[in-house]
Amino acid sequence: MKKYGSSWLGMALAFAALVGLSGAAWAAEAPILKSLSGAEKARVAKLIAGAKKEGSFSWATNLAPVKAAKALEKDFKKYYGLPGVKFRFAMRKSGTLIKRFEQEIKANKLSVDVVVLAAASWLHSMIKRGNLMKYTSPEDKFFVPAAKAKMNAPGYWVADGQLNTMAVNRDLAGNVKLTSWFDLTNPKYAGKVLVGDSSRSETYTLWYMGLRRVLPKSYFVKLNAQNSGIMIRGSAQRRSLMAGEYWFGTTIMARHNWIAKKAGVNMSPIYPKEGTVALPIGAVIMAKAKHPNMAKLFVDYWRSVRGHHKMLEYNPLNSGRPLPPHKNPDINKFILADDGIAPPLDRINIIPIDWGKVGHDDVKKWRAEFNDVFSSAPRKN
Amino acid sequence: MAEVVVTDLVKKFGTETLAVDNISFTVAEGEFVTLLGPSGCGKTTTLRCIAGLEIPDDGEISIGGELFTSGSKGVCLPPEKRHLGMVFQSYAIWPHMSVAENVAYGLQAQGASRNEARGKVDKALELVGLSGLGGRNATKLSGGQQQRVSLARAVAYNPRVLLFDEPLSNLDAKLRERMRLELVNLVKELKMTALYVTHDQAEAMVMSDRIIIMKDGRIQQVGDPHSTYNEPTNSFVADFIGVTNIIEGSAEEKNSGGLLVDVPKLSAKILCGAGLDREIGKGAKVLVTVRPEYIELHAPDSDGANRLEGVVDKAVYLGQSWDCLIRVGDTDLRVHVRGDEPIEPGKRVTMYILPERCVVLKD
Amino acid sequence: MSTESDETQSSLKTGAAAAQAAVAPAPFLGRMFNAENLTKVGSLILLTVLAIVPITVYLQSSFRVHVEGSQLGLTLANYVQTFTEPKILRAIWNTLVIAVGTAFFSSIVGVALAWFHARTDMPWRGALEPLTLIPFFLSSFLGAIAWWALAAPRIGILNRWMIDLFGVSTPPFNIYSMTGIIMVMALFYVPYMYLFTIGSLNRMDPALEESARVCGTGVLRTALRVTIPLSTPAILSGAIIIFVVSAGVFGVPTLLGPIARIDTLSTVIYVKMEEYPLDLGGAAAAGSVLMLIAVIGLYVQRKIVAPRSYVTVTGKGFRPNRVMLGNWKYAALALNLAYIIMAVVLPLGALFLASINRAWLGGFRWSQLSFYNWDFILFSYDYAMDAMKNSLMLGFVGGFMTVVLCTFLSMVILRGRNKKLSSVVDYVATLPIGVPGLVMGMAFLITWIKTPLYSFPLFLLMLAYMTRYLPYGLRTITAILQSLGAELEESSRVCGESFIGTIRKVTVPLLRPGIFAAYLMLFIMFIRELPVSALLATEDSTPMAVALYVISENEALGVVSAFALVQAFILLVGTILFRRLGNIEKLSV
Repeated sequence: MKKYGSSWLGMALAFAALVGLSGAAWAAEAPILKSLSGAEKARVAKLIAGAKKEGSFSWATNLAPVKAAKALEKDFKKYYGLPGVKFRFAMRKSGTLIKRFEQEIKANKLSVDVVVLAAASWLHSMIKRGNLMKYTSPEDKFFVPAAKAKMNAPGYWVADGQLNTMAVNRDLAGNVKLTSWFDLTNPKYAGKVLVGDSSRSETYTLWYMGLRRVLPKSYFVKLNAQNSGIMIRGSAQRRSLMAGEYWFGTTIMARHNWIAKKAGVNMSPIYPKEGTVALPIGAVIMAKAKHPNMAKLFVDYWRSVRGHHKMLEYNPLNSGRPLPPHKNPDINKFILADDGIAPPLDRINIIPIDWGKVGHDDVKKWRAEFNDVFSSAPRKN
Repeated sequence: MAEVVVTDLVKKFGTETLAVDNISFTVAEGEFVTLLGPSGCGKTTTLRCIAGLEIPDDGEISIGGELFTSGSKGVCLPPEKRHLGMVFQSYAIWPHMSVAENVAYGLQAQGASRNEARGKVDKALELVGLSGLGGRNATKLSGGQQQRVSLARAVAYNPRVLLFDEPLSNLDAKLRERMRLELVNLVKELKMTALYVTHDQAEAMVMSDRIIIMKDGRIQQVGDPHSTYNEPTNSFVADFIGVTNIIEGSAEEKNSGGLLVDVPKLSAKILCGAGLDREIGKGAKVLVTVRPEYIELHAPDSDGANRLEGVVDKAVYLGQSWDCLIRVGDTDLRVHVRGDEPIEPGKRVTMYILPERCVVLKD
Repeated sequence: MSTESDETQSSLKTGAAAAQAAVAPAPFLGRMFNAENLTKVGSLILLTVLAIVPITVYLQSSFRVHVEGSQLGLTLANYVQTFTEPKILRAIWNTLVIAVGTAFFSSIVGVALAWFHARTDMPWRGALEPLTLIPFFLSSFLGAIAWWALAAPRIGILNRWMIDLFGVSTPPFNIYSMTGIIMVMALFYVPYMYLFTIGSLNRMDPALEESARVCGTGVLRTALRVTIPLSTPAILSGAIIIFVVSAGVFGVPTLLGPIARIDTLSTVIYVKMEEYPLDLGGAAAAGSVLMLIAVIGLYVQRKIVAPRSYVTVTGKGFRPNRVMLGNWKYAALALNLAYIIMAVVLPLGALFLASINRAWLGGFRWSQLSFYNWDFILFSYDYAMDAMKNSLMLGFVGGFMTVVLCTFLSMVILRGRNKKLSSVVDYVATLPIGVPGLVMGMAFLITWIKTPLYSFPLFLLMLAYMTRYLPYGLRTITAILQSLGAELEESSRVCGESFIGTIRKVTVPLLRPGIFAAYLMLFIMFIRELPVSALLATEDSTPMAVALYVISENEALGVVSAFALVQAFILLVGTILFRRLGNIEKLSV
């Protein structure tokens, strides 16, 4: 038979096989149920039955790239025996997502079931306004490191961490030992340090606020005096560090180190001894979610080891729960190891911040100080 | 029947400007009527109201008995329903079409078949002397030719009335003069009713059956070329049409020869034989007009009215006549003298004003 | 009279007829319900829905303070903050400097290039035109990335060259500066000016220029004294739009501003719009500065332009001739080539080099040579391809609808009998350029989320694009219509052609270069639009610009560069296609 002898026949066969397979998968017991027993098995089975009726699901995040989302979707459908559920997904900046969902809530036209966002103040405000569904997943109890750092909101979410922390381009800086934030004020690194622009980004303002709990204002005055660069976008900072414009970042997310490493640039995160700010990433269910069964199952999956591992294949994330080694040794070495890109939070010194109490006034206050410190670029030389 | 009847037409621009101020006139079937006046007199606006390009504020327009526009009845036919032909000052030739396409446009718009249109286009082009140029790009023609295209386009579909909006003013003088006659001949040949707008009084005189003279949105005078020239009703008309002398005086007595007017500035009495169709009281201030060609340098010997003494101030030779300014007292009179006998400035002359050509104006 | 009373009597007998007679007399109805009025009323309704509603939402929100989940009563607090906070005032000042600089330089270059192409015998015109337009295909944000790679003080390719080749001791170029920002923006707005003016220059009667030449005026003086002033409506439109739009751009200052601590109005708005609780009121108040600028600009334009006549195309027709530049044509060519080098070769070259390096280490490295990025974009990333399909659909269909609407609106503005209505329409249709994209997206979301249309995101996106870019299309088309003698349409009406027929057979064919220029411009802008798209697009309706944003967040520079080049290529093909379709060359000959 010729290789592409009869493409029509081939397509028809493939289609038949696909229909057959999916039908079979739909009918058979979901793999997850095999590992469960008792009440939990009954609970999940009931949710799966409900999810089949719902038939679709929508989630949005500022974290996962489309590829990661597709992989999670595929694995989830397989594991929960829900191949027919239609997934909808949006990846946008958190600000964009918040704007859209706020308006949808107001107009009573919420289109999303689950949101995974590193936007603690909004998420807490959503709790206050009764817009989040209370849900405790069996996985929640494992998020002890996140609980220690006060990142969880029990009953609503348990957190993974978005760490904007120090990063170094080792191809340029060599194997210098960096253990403290003060290492960056070393005069020989003058002009080589890049700072996220808190005056234009809430994320960096929270980073500044957090670091100020362990570092004095004078530290930042010195950073500014040493001609540190200021940039807004994470992607711009990554490009700049990769190109060697600056050597050290101070507000770099795991994802950007990862992108650099994949492209062959040895850019590594540093978790200084004074501590690192971790913004809580919550996977939450909307109170008015149209597909609550699906939402609960997906949140279970997101918070599980399996979900975390799947995510790590496509996008690094500092897990809020201790993680066992991944089946892929590269990922263990590359991401999960202590000197990897995104070790779980139990291995990092996180500055505890009571996120429920951080409001917009704090953002304003600390932004004002940042503006004051970094308001003018120092003169050259 | 294609009689144009305009009744009490009013058109305002904005809230203040009255472009057309309550005018009425008719154009009879087959008649060539000209709206004449300086720019801003409302003549073009009137024409555009008839074409349907402006919506009048009040008044009625009907053509051939069909009501086109009526302020009170709320009727206003759009231009395309009026079946008129119009020739614009700027020709309005569509640059994206050939000559034939331009001419066929109206025919097709009015539903003529392709074959029918072709025949009529050829005929129209022949009429205007452009046979065989149908395939040309219209914009590649000369100005005169373009205006002929525009004319052919307007007559091709045999409209009820032809409207002309200063069609010749973009042409050079020679061509303009030739086109005047051609245009009139064509219209007459086609037995069409035509309403023609111009600011050129010579054009109006040459072409029209009747002239309607307008100023500031109002009609000043209506009449055939002869009567508007020879019997202007007011100083505006007298002055606007041709060259004239306007003299101030006061009425004295009326006799069989006309009205005797005392003109102190000329230290003379002038007998006026025209413009007397109204009551003029003794001592009333009047304006008298007389054309330069009706003042003669060969006065009858008899003493009396209409006889003036003056000194030639300036004299310009025009070919068949001399155009002179002659100082009488402290005013200048414009006098046209036939013949080619030299007239020297400074020469003392005696003049005679033909009484039957002295018109008493109504303002 | 008797028939009328008969009718009245009979109508009394039947209720329905009586009602009919009571509504309006038939002639009145006949006058109101013709194609002309229906079209005009239709486009006015569409304008209201598209522009007035979101702008009203926008303006009213500027008088409210937004807190978590709701808004407080009416207040002037936002305006007080905008005009008293030193940081914002400084930002406004910076914005004005950038906008003036951008509008000034891009106008000069853009008009000069348009004149070369439309009216002179500069060599290689046909080949150079698409190249000249290329910068327009990229967003200025990508231009900023490219210029970062070229002229960042420490790693810029040009700086390295200067240091290596000429032994300069300090890097000569610093893109992190006011000059840098203005240069990048001006380079990228030149094609706007070009597109705004090319139409009116193309349609100008050379007799107007020739008469000046006959009077003994030189080529350059003729251009400056006759040609350019006659294109004033188009040039002024273009300059004002560039001024306002460049004031609203945030991609460039976001990337190049912070290091030099340059704050602009757009970054102020950006911050207010990206946080929670969203400061829509503050953003709208700050943005109203932009809208004010737009309104003032339009007012000035109307004051300068309106009193004079700019009819350059009359029914007289003309024999198009080009100005013979003599040896100066090589100077023109040199200027055009210099522009292409600055705005196309250098930035696209930098992006290309980046696209064939796995990692961008501040310069092209043979060791980094890789086709990973191209393979990724072209063959292993469905997301990008789906996004291209969405964008092309939005560009072609949405652009077409906008052009149709703009044509009708420009008829209302320039040919309408009601002058007040005309100027109101002109202002309203111009306001959207004063609304920053981020805020416009929000106003749109607030407006449309309450309607069933919210379930059709692709359609919604199209409406949003139409609103946002309406002024561009309208300006381009009105500029051309302004140069078209009204008697060309009037004679068609008198010939018996209807309103619609006249538009179809006379107006549109004569406006064709302008319409296609507008269509092309809208097509490109639709495809590049980001802030509104990011807010309104869902997964299925993701357009290319959003995909590009997502990619820039998740992939290294090489992938972004490859995608940007693909986008530029698609738009280049689109442009050539448009030129063919529009027969623009044929019409301009």
